[in-house]
Amino acid sequence: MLDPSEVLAARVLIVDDQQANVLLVERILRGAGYTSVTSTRDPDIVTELHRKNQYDLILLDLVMPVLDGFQVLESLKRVEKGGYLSVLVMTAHAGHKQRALRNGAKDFISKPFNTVEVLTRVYNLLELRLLHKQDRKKKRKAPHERVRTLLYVEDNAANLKLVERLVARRPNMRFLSAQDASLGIALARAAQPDVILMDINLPGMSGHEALKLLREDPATEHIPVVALSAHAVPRDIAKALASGFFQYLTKPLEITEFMDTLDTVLAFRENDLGQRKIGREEDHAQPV
Amino acid sequence: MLNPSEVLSGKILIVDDQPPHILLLERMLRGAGYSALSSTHDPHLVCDLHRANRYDLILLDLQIPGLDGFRVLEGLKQVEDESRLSVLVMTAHPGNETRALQGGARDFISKPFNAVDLLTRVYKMLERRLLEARAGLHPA
Repeated sequence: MLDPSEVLAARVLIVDDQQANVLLVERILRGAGYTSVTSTRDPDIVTELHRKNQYDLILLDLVMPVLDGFQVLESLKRVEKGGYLSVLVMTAHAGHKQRALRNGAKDFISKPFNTVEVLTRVYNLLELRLLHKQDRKKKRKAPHERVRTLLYVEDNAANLKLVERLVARRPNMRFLSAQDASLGIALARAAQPDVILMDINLPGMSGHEALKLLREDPATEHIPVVALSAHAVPRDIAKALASGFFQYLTKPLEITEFMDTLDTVLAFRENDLGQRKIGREEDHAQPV
Repeated sequence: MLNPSEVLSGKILIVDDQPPHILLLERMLRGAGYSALSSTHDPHLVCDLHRANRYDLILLDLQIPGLDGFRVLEGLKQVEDESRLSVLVMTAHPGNETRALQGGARDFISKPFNAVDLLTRVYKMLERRLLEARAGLHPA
Protein backbone atom coordinates (compact mmCIF):
# COMPACT_ATOMS: atom_id res chain seq x y z
CA MET A 1 0.00 0.00 0.00
CA LEU A 2 1.32 3.44 -0.90
CA ASP A 3 1.56 6.21 1.64
CA PRO A 4 -1.89 7.91 1.56
CA SER A 5 -0.28 11.36 1.70
CA GLU A 6 1.39 10.61 -1.62
CA VAL A 7 -1.95 9.73 -3.18
CA LEU A 8 -3.67 12.82 -1.76
CA ALA A 9 -0.97 15.09 -3.20
CA ALA A 10 -1.33 13.69 -6.73
CA ARG A 11 -2.41 16.05 -9.52
CA VAL A 12 -6.05 15.75 -10.49
CA LEU A 13 -7.94 17.48 -13.32
CA ILE A 14 -11.75 17.55 -13.51
CA VAL A 15 -13.30 18.07 -16.95
CA ASP A 16 -17.03 18.73 -17.21
CA ASP A 17 -18.98 21.38 -19.09
CA GLN A 18 -21.49 21.67 -16.23
CA GLN A 19 -20.36 24.00 -13.49
CA ALA A 20 -22.49 22.18 -10.90
CA ASN A 21 -20.74 18.87 -11.57
CA VAL A 22 -17.30 20.42 -11.40
CA LEU A 23 -18.09 22.05 -8.07
CA LEU A 24 -19.57 18.89 -6.64
CA VAL A 25 -16.62 16.67 -7.57
CA GLU A 26 -14.15 19.30 -6.40
CA ARG A 27 -15.90 19.52 -3.06
CA ILE A 28 -15.94 15.74 -2.65
CA LEU A 29 -12.21 15.47 -3.41
CA ARG A 30 -11.08 18.46 -1.36
CA GLY A 31 -13.23 17.24 1.52
CA ALA A 32 -11.39 13.93 1.41
CA GLY A 33 -8.00 15.67 1.62
CA TYR A 34 -6.86 15.97 -2.01
CA THR A 35 -4.65 19.02 -2.27
CA SER A 36 -3.93 19.37 -5.96
CA VAL A 37 -7.31 19.47 -7.69
CA THR A 38 -7.91 21.68 -10.73
CA SER A 39 -10.76 21.82 -13.20
CA THR A 40 -11.86 23.06 -16.58
CA ARG A 41 -15.18 23.35 -18.39
CA ASP A 42 -13.50 23.62 -21.77
CA PRO A 43 -12.71 20.23 -23.35
CA ASP A 44 -10.67 21.95 -26.06
CA ILE A 45 -7.79 22.77 -23.75
CA VAL A 46 -7.58 19.42 -21.91
CA THR A 47 -4.93 17.89 -24.16
CA GLU A 48 -2.74 20.97 -23.97
CA LEU A 49 -3.14 21.08 -20.18
CA HIS A 50 -2.14 17.42 -19.92
CA ARG A 51 0.83 17.92 -22.22
CA LYS A 52 2.09 20.59 -19.84
CA ASN A 53 1.06 19.20 -16.47
CA GLN A 54 1.00 15.40 -16.95
CA TYR A 55 -1.85 14.81 -14.50
CA ASP A 56 -1.99 11.71 -12.37
CA LEU A 57 -5.73 11.53 -12.88
CA ILE A 58 -8.23 13.13 -15.27
CA LEU A 59 -11.91 12.87 -14.38
CA LEU A 60 -13.61 13.21 -17.73
CA ASP A 61 -17.23 13.86 -18.58
CA LEU A 62 -18.20 12.04 -21.78
CA VAL A 63 -21.14 14.07 -22.99
CA MET A 64 -20.04 17.61 -23.77
CA PRO A 65 -21.01 19.94 -26.61
CA VAL A 66 -18.60 20.52 -29.54
CA LEU A 67 -15.85 18.15 -28.41
CA ASP A 68 -17.07 15.07 -26.56
CA GLY A 69 -15.16 12.99 -24.05
CA PHE A 70 -14.34 10.24 -26.55
CA GLN A 71 -12.55 12.74 -28.78
CA VAL A 72 -10.69 14.13 -25.80
CA LEU A 73 -9.58 10.59 -24.88
CA GLU A 74 -8.37 10.03 -28.40
CA SER A 75 -6.09 13.06 -28.36
CA LEU A 76 -4.95 12.60 -24.75
CA LYS A 77 -3.18 9.36 -25.50
CA ARG A 78 -0.97 11.22 -27.94
CA VAL A 79 0.50 13.42 -25.21
CA GLU A 80 0.80 11.02 -22.26
CA LYS A 81 4.48 10.59 -21.47
CA GLY A 82 4.32 8.22 -18.50
CA GLY A 83 2.68 5.43 -20.46
CA TYR A 84 -0.22 5.01 -18.07
CA LEU A 85 -2.90 7.49 -19.09
CA SER A 86 -5.04 7.70 -16.01
CA VAL A 87 -8.52 8.74 -17.13
CA LEU A 88 -11.65 8.06 -15.11
CA VAL A 89 -14.79 8.76 -17.13
CA MET A 90 -17.99 10.01 -15.55
CA THR A 91 -21.08 8.77 -17.32
CA ALA A 92 -24.82 8.33 -16.94
CA HIS A 93 -24.94 5.73 -19.75
CA ALA A 94 -23.98 2.17 -18.87
CA GLY A 95 -23.20 1.51 -22.52
CA HIS A 96 -20.56 4.22 -22.59
CA LYS A 97 -18.37 2.44 -20.05
CA GLN A 98 -17.18 -0.26 -22.41
CA ARG A 99 -16.68 2.18 -25.26
CA ALA A 100 -14.63 4.48 -23.06
CA LEU A 101 -12.45 1.59 -21.86
CA ARG A 102 -11.85 0.56 -25.42
CA ASN A 103 -10.83 4.11 -26.22
CA GLY A 104 -8.20 4.23 -23.51
CA ALA A 105 -10.05 5.20 -20.31
CA LYS A 106 -8.90 3.21 -17.29
CA ASP A 107 -12.08 3.21 -15.24
CA PHE A 108 -15.53 4.76 -14.90
CA ILE A 109 -17.90 6.21 -12.33
CA SER A 110 -21.64 6.52 -12.70
CA LYS A 111 -23.71 9.68 -12.72
CA PRO A 112 -25.47 10.81 -10.58
CA PHE A 113 -22.44 10.74 -8.30
CA ASN A 114 -22.19 8.55 -5.27
CA THR A 115 -19.56 9.91 -2.90
CA VAL A 116 -18.24 6.52 -1.80
CA GLU A 117 -17.90 5.38 -5.39
CA VAL A 118 -16.14 8.59 -6.48
CA LEU A 119 -13.65 8.46 -3.63
CA THR A 120 -12.94 4.74 -3.96
CA ARG A 121 -12.38 4.85 -7.73
CA VAL A 122 -10.29 8.01 -7.56
CA TYR A 123 -8.08 6.69 -4.78
CA ASN A 124 -7.60 3.28 -6.35
CA LEU A 125 -6.80 4.61 -9.79
CA LEU A 126 -4.35 7.14 -8.41
CA GLU A 127 -2.65 4.37 -6.50
CA LEU A 128 -2.33 2.36 -9.69
CA ARG A 129 -0.96 5.34 -11.60
CA LEU A 130 1.66 6.00 -8.93
CA LEU A 131 2.63 2.33 -8.79
CA HIS A 132 2.98 2.28 -12.57
CA LYS A 133 5.18 5.36 -12.39
CA GLN A 134 7.44 3.75 -9.78
CA ASP A 135 7.61 0.58 -11.79
CA ARG A 136 8.58 2.48 -14.92
CA LYS A 137 11.35 4.34 -13.15
CA LYS A 138 12.76 1.09 -11.87
CA LYS A 139 12.52 -0.50 -15.30
CA ARG A 140 14.35 2.34 -16.94
CA LYS A 141 17.31 1.63 -14.72
CA ALA A 142 17.15 -2.10 -15.40
CA PRO A 143 19.57 -3.17 -18.12
CA HIS A 144 17.45 -5.87 -19.78
CA GLU A 145 14.73 -4.06 -21.58
CA ARG A 146 12.76 -5.86 -24.24
CA VAL A 147 13.91 -5.20 -27.79
CA ARG A 148 11.32 -3.18 -29.70
CA THR A 149 10.82 -3.01 -33.41
CA LEU A 150 9.88 -0.13 -35.65
CA LEU A 151 8.77 -0.83 -39.20
CA TYR A 152 9.08 2.05 -41.65
CA VAL A 153 7.18 1.84 -44.92
CA GLU A 154 8.75 4.38 -47.28
CA ASP A 155 9.93 4.54 -50.88
CA ASN A 156 12.33 7.45 -50.44
CA ALA A 157 15.88 6.28 -49.67
CA ALA A 158 16.97 9.50 -47.96
CA ASN A 159 14.06 9.36 -45.52
CA LEU A 160 14.73 5.70 -44.79
CA LYS A 161 18.30 6.50 -43.94
CA LEU A 162 17.35 9.41 -41.67
CA VAL A 163 14.80 7.42 -39.65
CA GLU A 164 17.14 4.45 -39.38
CA ARG A 165 19.74 6.77 -37.84
CA LEU A 166 17.20 8.29 -35.43
CA VAL A 167 15.96 4.89 -34.30
CA ALA A 168 19.55 3.83 -33.65
CA ARG A 169 19.68 6.50 -30.92
CA ARG A 170 17.29 4.46 -28.81
CA PRO A 171 18.92 1.46 -27.17
CA ASN A 172 17.23 -1.90 -27.77
CA MET A 173 15.47 -0.77 -30.87
CA ARG A 174 15.37 -2.67 -34.11
CA PHE A 175 14.68 -1.05 -37.46
CA LEU A 176 12.87 -2.73 -40.33
CA SER A 177 11.81 -1.20 -43.61
CA ALA A 178 9.71 -1.89 -46.67
CA GLN A 179 9.60 0.15 -49.87
CA ASP A 180 5.95 -0.37 -50.70
CA ALA A 181 2.70 -1.00 -48.84
CA SER A 182 2.13 -4.67 -49.72
CA LEU A 183 5.61 -5.58 -48.63
CA GLY A 184 5.06 -3.48 -45.49
CA ILE A 185 1.88 -5.34 -44.61
CA ALA A 186 3.50 -8.73 -45.14
CA LEU A 187 6.42 -7.70 -42.97
CA ALA A 188 4.09 -6.37 -40.26
CA ARG A 189 2.32 -9.74 -40.12
CA ALA A 190 5.53 -11.69 -39.95
CA ALA A 191 7.65 -9.50 -37.67
CA GLN A 192 4.94 -8.04 -35.40
CA PRO A 193 6.61 -4.65 -34.94
CA ASP A 194 5.73 -2.49 -31.90
CA VAL A 195 5.04 0.50 -34.12
CA ILE A 196 4.68 1.19 -37.83
CA LEU A 197 5.71 4.45 -39.46
CA MET A 198 3.78 4.81 -42.69
CA ASP A 199 4.46 7.13 -45.57
CA ILE A 200 1.15 8.24 -47.10
CA ASN A 201 2.21 8.73 -50.71
CA LEU A 202 3.55 5.35 -51.66
CA PRO A 203 3.79 3.91 -55.16
CA GLY A 204 0.80 1.62 -55.80
CA MET A 205 -1.17 1.15 -52.61
CA SER A 206 -1.36 4.35 -50.50
CA GLY A 207 -0.70 4.60 -46.77
CA HIS A 208 -4.42 5.04 -46.15
CA GLU A 209 -5.31 1.81 -47.91
CA ALA A 210 -2.50 0.02 -46.11
CA LEU A 211 -3.83 1.21 -42.73
CA LYS A 212 -7.25 -0.13 -43.60
CA LEU A 213 -5.83 -3.58 -44.40
CA LEU A 214 -3.70 -3.59 -41.25
CA ARG A 215 -6.78 -2.76 -39.17
CA GLU A 216 -8.86 -5.52 -40.74
CA ASP A 217 -6.32 -8.21 -39.99
CA PRO A 218 -6.45 -9.58 -36.40
CA ALA A 219 -2.69 -10.19 -36.64
CA THR A 220 -1.94 -6.49 -37.10
CA GLU A 221 -5.04 -4.57 -35.92
CA HIS A 222 -3.42 -3.70 -32.56
CA ILE A 223 -0.18 -2.22 -33.91
CA PRO A 224 -0.16 1.58 -33.70
CA VAL A 225 0.52 3.23 -37.05
CA VAL A 226 2.02 6.72 -37.34
CA ALA A 227 1.41 8.56 -40.63
CA LEU A 228 4.11 10.55 -42.35
CA SER A 229 3.40 12.89 -45.22
CA ALA A 230 4.67 15.94 -47.04
CA HIS A 231 1.26 17.19 -48.10
CA ALA A 232 -0.55 17.86 -44.88
CA VAL A 233 -3.30 20.39 -44.42
CA PRO A 234 -5.14 20.34 -41.08
CA ARG A 235 -8.20 18.72 -42.66
CA ASP A 236 -6.10 15.78 -43.97
CA ILE A 237 -4.54 15.36 -40.58
CA ALA A 238 -7.88 15.31 -38.78
CA LYS A 239 -9.21 12.83 -41.33
CA ALA A 240 -6.16 10.57 -40.95
CA LEU A 241 -6.42 10.57 -37.16
CA ALA A 242 -10.13 9.79 -37.34
CA SER A 243 -9.40 6.86 -39.64
CA GLY A 244 -7.15 5.30 -37.03
CA PHE A 245 -3.63 6.63 -37.38
CA PHE A 246 -2.06 7.05 -33.96
CA GLN A 247 -0.31 10.27 -34.89
CA TYR A 248 0.39 12.31 -38.00
CA LEU A 249 3.86 13.67 -38.65
CA THR A 250 4.81 15.96 -41.50
CA LYS A 251 7.88 16.01 -43.71
CA PRO A 252 10.49 17.30 -43.39
CA LEU A 253 10.67 15.31 -40.20
CA GLU A 254 11.07 17.36 -37.04
CA ILE A 255 13.52 15.35 -34.95
CA THR A 256 12.36 16.21 -31.43
CA GLU A 257 8.76 15.66 -32.42
CA PHE A 258 9.63 12.31 -33.95
CA MET A 259 11.54 11.11 -30.87
CA ASP A 260 8.70 12.26 -28.57
CA THR A 261 6.15 10.45 -30.71
CA LEU A 262 8.26 7.33 -30.64
CA ASP A 263 8.39 7.34 -26.82
CA THR A 264 4.68 8.05 -26.49
CA VAL A 265 3.61 5.35 -28.91
CA LEU A 266 5.84 2.70 -27.33
CA ALA A 267 4.56 3.54 -23.85
CA PHE A 268 1.00 3.46 -25.14
CA ARG A 269 1.56 0.08 -26.75
CA GLU A 270 2.70 -1.52 -23.51
CA ASN A 271 -0.35 -0.45 -21.59
CA ASP A 272 -2.78 -1.05 -24.36
CA LEU A 273 -2.14 -4.78 -24.15
CA GLY A 274 -3.60 -5.06 -20.69
CA GLN A 275 -6.54 -2.78 -21.16
CA ARG A 276 -7.87 -4.22 -24.37
CA LYS A 277 -8.93 -7.45 -22.73
CA ILE A 278 -11.65 -5.73 -20.73
CA GLY A 279 -12.80 -3.42 -23.48
CA ARG A 280 -13.63 -6.33 -25.70
CA GLU A 281 -15.92 -8.07 -23.25
CA GLU A 282 -19.63 -7.92 -23.90
CA ASP A 283 -21.40 -5.29 -21.87
CA HIS A 284 -24.64 -7.19 -22.00
CA ALA A 285 -23.79 -10.21 -19.91
CA GLN A 286 -26.41 -11.26 -17.45
CA PRO A 287 -26.44 -9.20 -14.27
CA VAL A 288 -25.51 -11.09 -11.12
CA MET B 1 4.99 -2.47 -17.63
CA LEU B 2 2.66 -5.33 -16.83
CA ASN B 3 2.26 -8.37 -18.91
CA PRO B 4 -1.49 -9.17 -19.15
CA SER B 5 -0.80 -12.88 -18.80
CA GLU B 6 0.68 -12.20 -15.37
CA VAL B 7 -2.52 -10.46 -14.33
CA LEU B 8 -4.66 -13.25 -15.77
CA SER B 9 -2.80 -15.89 -13.80
CA GLY B 10 -3.52 -14.17 -10.47
CA LYS B 11 -5.04 -16.52 -7.88
CA ILE B 12 -8.68 -15.69 -7.26
CA LEU B 13 -11.09 -17.08 -4.63
CA ILE B 14 -14.82 -16.54 -5.11
CA VAL B 15 -16.93 -16.65 -1.95
CA ASP B 16 -20.71 -16.77 -2.38
CA ASP B 17 -23.31 -18.93 -0.67
CA GLN B 18 -25.26 -19.40 -3.89
CA PRO B 19 -23.76 -21.94 -6.31
CA PRO B 20 -25.47 -20.34 -9.38
CA HIS B 21 -23.75 -17.04 -8.58
CA ILE B 22 -20.41 -18.79 -8.30
CA LEU B 23 -20.94 -20.46 -11.66
CA LEU B 24 -21.80 -17.19 -13.33
CA LEU B 25 -18.81 -15.38 -11.85
CA GLU B 26 -16.52 -18.21 -12.84
CA ARG B 27 -17.86 -18.16 -16.35
CA MET B 28 -17.32 -14.41 -16.75
CA LEU B 29 -13.79 -14.59 -15.36
CA ARG B 30 -12.81 -17.68 -17.29
CA GLY B 31 -14.23 -16.13 -20.45
CA ALA B 32 -11.93 -13.15 -19.93
CA GLY B 33 -8.91 -15.44 -19.61
CA TYR B 34 -8.43 -15.84 -15.86
CA SER B 35 -6.96 -19.23 -15.22
CA ALA B 36 -6.44 -19.64 -11.45
CA LEU B 37 -9.98 -19.65 -10.10
CA SER B 38 -11.21 -21.31 -6.93
CA SER B 39 -14.49 -20.95 -5.12
CA THR B 40 -16.34 -21.84 -1.95
CA HIS B 41 -19.89 -21.39 -0.71
CA ASP B 42 -18.87 -21.94 2.90
CA PRO B 43 -17.68 -18.70 4.53
CA HIS B 44 -16.15 -20.62 7.43
CA LEU B 45 -13.50 -22.03 5.12
CA VAL B 46 -12.27 -18.71 3.71
CA CYS B 47 -9.59 -17.91 6.28
CA ASP B 48 -8.04 -21.37 6.19
CA LEU B 49 -8.11 -21.40 2.41
CA HIS B 50 -6.39 -18.03 2.30
CA ARG B 51 -3.79 -19.08 4.84
CA ALA B 52 -2.99 -22.11 2.71
CA ASN B 53 -3.17 -20.54 -0.74
CA ARG B 54 -2.46 -16.81 -0.39
CA TYR B 55 -4.91 -15.60 -3.00
CA ASP B 56 -4.16 -12.48 -5.00
CA LEU B 57 -7.83 -11.58 -4.88
CA ILE B 58 -10.81 -12.64 -2.81
CA LEU B 59 -14.18 -11.86 -4.33
CA LEU B 60 -16.51 -11.80 -1.35
CA ASP B 61 -20.28 -11.65 -1.22
CA LEU B 62 -21.30 -9.64 1.84
CA GLN B 63 -24.70 -11.17 2.46
CA ILE B 64 -24.05 -14.74 3.43
CA PRO B 65 -26.34 -16.39 5.95
CA GLY B 66 -24.55 -17.99 8.88
CA LEU B 67 -21.36 -15.95 8.81
CA ASP B 68 -21.69 -12.62 7.11
CA GLY B 69 -19.03 -11.04 4.93
CA PHE B 70 -17.98 -8.52 7.57
CA ARG B 71 -17.06 -11.32 9.95
CA VAL B 72 -15.10 -13.01 7.16
CA LEU B 73 -13.21 -9.75 6.60
CA GLU B 74 -12.40 -9.58 10.31
CA GLY B 75 -11.00 -13.10 10.15
CA LEU B 76 -8.97 -12.40 7.01
CA LYS B 77 -7.22 -9.51 8.73
CA GLN B 78 -5.83 -12.04 11.19
CA VAL B 79 -4.37 -14.00 8.29
CA GLU B 80 -2.88 -11.15 6.27
CA ASP B 81 -2.06 -7.56 7.17
CA GLU B 82 -4.84 -5.16 6.23
CA SER B 83 -2.49 -3.07 4.09
CA ARG B 84 -1.90 -6.07 1.84
CA LEU B 85 -5.28 -7.71 1.93
CA SER B 86 -6.88 -7.83 -1.52
CA VAL B 87 -10.64 -8.21 -1.05
CA LEU B 88 -13.33 -7.06 -3.46
CA VAL B 89 -16.81 -7.16 -1.91
CA MET B 90 -20.09 -7.58 -3.76
CA THR B 91 -23.07 -5.92 -2.20
CA ALA B 92 -26.67 -4.96 -2.94
CA HIS B 93 -26.94 -2.49 -0.04
CA PRO B 94 -25.39 0.96 -0.61
CA GLY B 95 -24.71 1.50 3.10
CA ASN B 96 -22.57 -1.62 3.30
CA GLU B 97 -19.90 -0.33 0.95
CA THR B 98 -18.45 2.16 3.42
CA ARG B 99 -18.58 -0.37 6.21
CA ALA B 100 -16.75 -2.95 4.11
CA LEU B 101 -14.09 -0.45 2.98
CA GLN B 102 -13.49 0.52 6.59
CA GLY B 103 -13.44 -3.15 7.49
CA GLY B 104 -10.52 -3.94 5.18
CA ALA B 105 -11.99 -4.37 1.68
CA ARG B 106 -10.13 -2.51 -1.06
CA ASP B 107 -13.02 -2.01 -3.42
CA PHE B 108 -16.63 -2.95 -4.00
CA ILE B 109 -19.07 -3.88 -6.76
CA SER B 110 -22.69 -2.91 -6.37
CA LYS B 111 -25.30 -5.45 -7.41
CA PRO B 112 -26.67 -5.84 -9.97
CA PHE B 113 -23.49 -5.66 -12.02
CA ASN B 114 -22.46 -6.80 -15.47
CA ALA B 115 -19.31 -8.27 -17.00
CA VAL B 116 -17.65 -4.91 -17.63
CA ASP B 117 -18.12 -3.83 -14.01
CA LEU B 118 -16.76 -7.11 -12.71
CA LEU B 119 -13.81 -7.41 -15.11
CA THR B 120 -12.73 -3.81 -14.62
CA ARG B 121 -12.66 -4.17 -10.83
CA VAL B 122 -10.93 -7.55 -10.91
CA TYR B 123 -8.26 -6.46 -13.39
CA LYS B 124 -7.47 -3.30 -11.40
CA MET B 125 -7.16 -5.21 -8.13
CA LEU B 126 -4.81 -7.81 -9.59
CA GLU B 127 -2.80 -5.19 -11.43
CA ARG B 128 -2.22 -3.35 -8.19
CA ARG B 129 -1.35 -6.54 -6.33
CA LEU B 130 1.32 -7.32 -8.95
CA LEU B 131 2.75 -3.81 -9.00
CA GLU B 132 2.91 -3.74 -5.22
CA ALA B 133 4.74 -7.04 -5.23
CA ARG B 134 7.21 -5.75 -7.81
CA ALA B 135 7.75 -2.56 -5.82
CA GLY B 136 8.67 -4.76 -2.88
CA LEU B 137 5.67 -3.62 -0.87
CA HIS B 138 4.76 -7.21 -0.13
CA PRO B 139 6.02 -10.66 -1.11
CA ALA B 140 4.77 -11.92 -4.45
